[in-house]
Amino acid sequence: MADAQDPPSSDSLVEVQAMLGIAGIEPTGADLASLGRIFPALRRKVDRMYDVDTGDEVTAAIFRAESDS
Amino acid sequence: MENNSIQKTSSDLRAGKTTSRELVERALQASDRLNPILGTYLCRFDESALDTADRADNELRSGKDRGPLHGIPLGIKDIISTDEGPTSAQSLAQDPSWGDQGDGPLLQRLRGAGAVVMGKTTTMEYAIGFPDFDKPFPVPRNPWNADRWTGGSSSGTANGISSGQFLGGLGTDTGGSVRLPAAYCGISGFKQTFGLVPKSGCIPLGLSYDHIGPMATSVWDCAAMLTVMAGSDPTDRTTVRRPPLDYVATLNEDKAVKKAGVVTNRSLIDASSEQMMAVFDDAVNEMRVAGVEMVPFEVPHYQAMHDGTFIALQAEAFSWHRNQLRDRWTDYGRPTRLTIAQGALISAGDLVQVERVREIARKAVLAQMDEAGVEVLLSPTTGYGATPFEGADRKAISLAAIHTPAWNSTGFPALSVPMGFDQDGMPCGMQIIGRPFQDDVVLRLGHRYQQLTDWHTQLPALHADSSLTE
Repeated sequence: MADAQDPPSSDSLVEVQAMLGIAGIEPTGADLASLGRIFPALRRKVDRMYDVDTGDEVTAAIFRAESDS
Repeated sequence: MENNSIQKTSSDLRAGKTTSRELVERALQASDRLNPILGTYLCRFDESALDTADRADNELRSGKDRGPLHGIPLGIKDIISTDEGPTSAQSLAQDPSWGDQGDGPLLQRLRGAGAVVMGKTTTMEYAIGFPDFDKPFPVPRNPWNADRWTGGSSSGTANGISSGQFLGGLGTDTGGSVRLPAAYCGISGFKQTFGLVPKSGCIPLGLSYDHIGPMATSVWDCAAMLTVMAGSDPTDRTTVRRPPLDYVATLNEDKAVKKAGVVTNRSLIDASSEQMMAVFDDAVNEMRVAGVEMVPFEVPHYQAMHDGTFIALQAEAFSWHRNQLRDRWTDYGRPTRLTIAQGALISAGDLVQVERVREIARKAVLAQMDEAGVEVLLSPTTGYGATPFEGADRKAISLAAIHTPAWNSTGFPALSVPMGFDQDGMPCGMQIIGRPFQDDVVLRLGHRYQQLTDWHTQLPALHADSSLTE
C-alpha cells in the first residue's frame, strides 16, 4: 500500500473535502491535508485500472438470486 | 512449552507424557513472563482454558479422542468473536456489544475438535492500522528482537506461537496479514483458497478479500487446523461446497510437486533486499535438489492485482465503517481512519472496474500456469525482514508487503514457511502459491520443504523455554 504522496493542491483538498462531506465525514485539518496529499496518487492507481483491457468481462463478484437468506 | 509443535504435543498427550492441563498451565506461566514484553494478548481466558483442558484430559482418559487439536492451546485474533469475552479489534471505536454473538462456525469447529481457546490476541486496529503507540493497547513485538515489529495484522497470534505461549492460532489475511507476521516471526501461516473456510463471526475488512487462516510452527500443524476449519457454512455465502479433505493425510501422498514457477517480476525483486533474495535463492535450490523443476514465471497483471486489492479493500472497509467513522472519527487511530476514509474517494464505477480487472487477472495467471506446466509459484513472503520500530515509516512497511496482496485478489492458496534468516538474524519466509482449491498441493510442498530443512524448529531469544526470558 505504498502511498506516494504529492504536495497538497487546493483542487485535491476541495475534491477530498467534498467527497468526504457527501459521506458525512468531517476530518480534522491535519487529516484532511493528509488525504489531500494521498488523493492524486490514489486516483492514478485507480485510473491505471482502466488501462487493462477488460472487454466485456463481468465482475468477479456475481450476485446470485438464491432462495436461502 | 518444550515442544512448540501441535504434531509432537498431540503425540505426547496420547502417550501420557503430558496433559492438556499441564500444557495450559505452562502456557499461562510463559505468558505471565512474556506477554508484558511482547504484547501478545488483549484478553486472556485463564479459567475457561483450564476448565476446557480438564475436560479434554478426562475425555482422553475415557477413550474419547477428538483428533490432533484435542487439548491443544490456541490463540485467537481479536477481530474474531468468541463465547468467552469481548472483541475489541484493538480499537476505541469498536462497539463492545458486537462480540455478544459469541462463537462463529469456525470457533465451534475448533472447540468441537477439542482445542483450548487461551485468549484474544493483538492485531493492528481493525486489521488495517499500523503499530500505534498513542492508543491504550499493547503494541505487539517480535520475539526475535523486541525492538522490531511482528508484521501485521495477525501480530499477537504470530508472536504468541513463536514465543511458545500457545501452539497454534487463528489469523486473518486480507492483503497478507497471516503470511507477513508468520514470515517475520519465523512460523508457518496459510491463507487457504477463498471460500474454503467460513468467515462469519469475524469483523470484516475487505469483504471479498478476507480469509481466516491457520498459523502454527509447522505446515503439518496448519494442515491439522485446516482439516477442522474447512467446509462451507450457510452463514457465509462466500463459502464453497467441497468434499471434506484430511489435509494431514494428504501431506505424505505420493504426488510430489514436479514443476514450480519462480516469480521474476522486476517490481517485486526491486522491492526486496539482496539478502532476502539470496536466502530465497538458497530455498529454491534446496527444492531443486529435491527434484522440483524450477522455471522463471512473470506473473501477468501483478501490479494491477496488487493495487486493486488495496483499492477494493478500502472501498469494502469503508462500507462497513462509514457510519462509525462519521460519529467516532478521532476514536480511530490516525493511520486507520486515513486508510479507511480513502474508500470514500473511490467511485462505484471504479470499484466495478477493479473487480473486472480482478477477474481478467485471475484467468490470465491460471492460463499462464497451464502454459508453463507449473503446479505452484514461489516468491519471498516479504521483501525485508521485520521492520524496526525506530525509524519505521509507512513506506517501509508497505514495501515489505509487496509480495502478498495479489493472491488475495485471485483468492489462490498461499503459504508462508520459514526459509532462513537475514543479516540481522531476523526470520525470512518463502511463499508457496497454488491453484484454487489445490490447498493440499501447496501444503504438501511446504511440508516437504520442512522435512528437508529445520528453519521452522528454530526458537527465538524471547521464548517460553529460554533462560534469556527469566
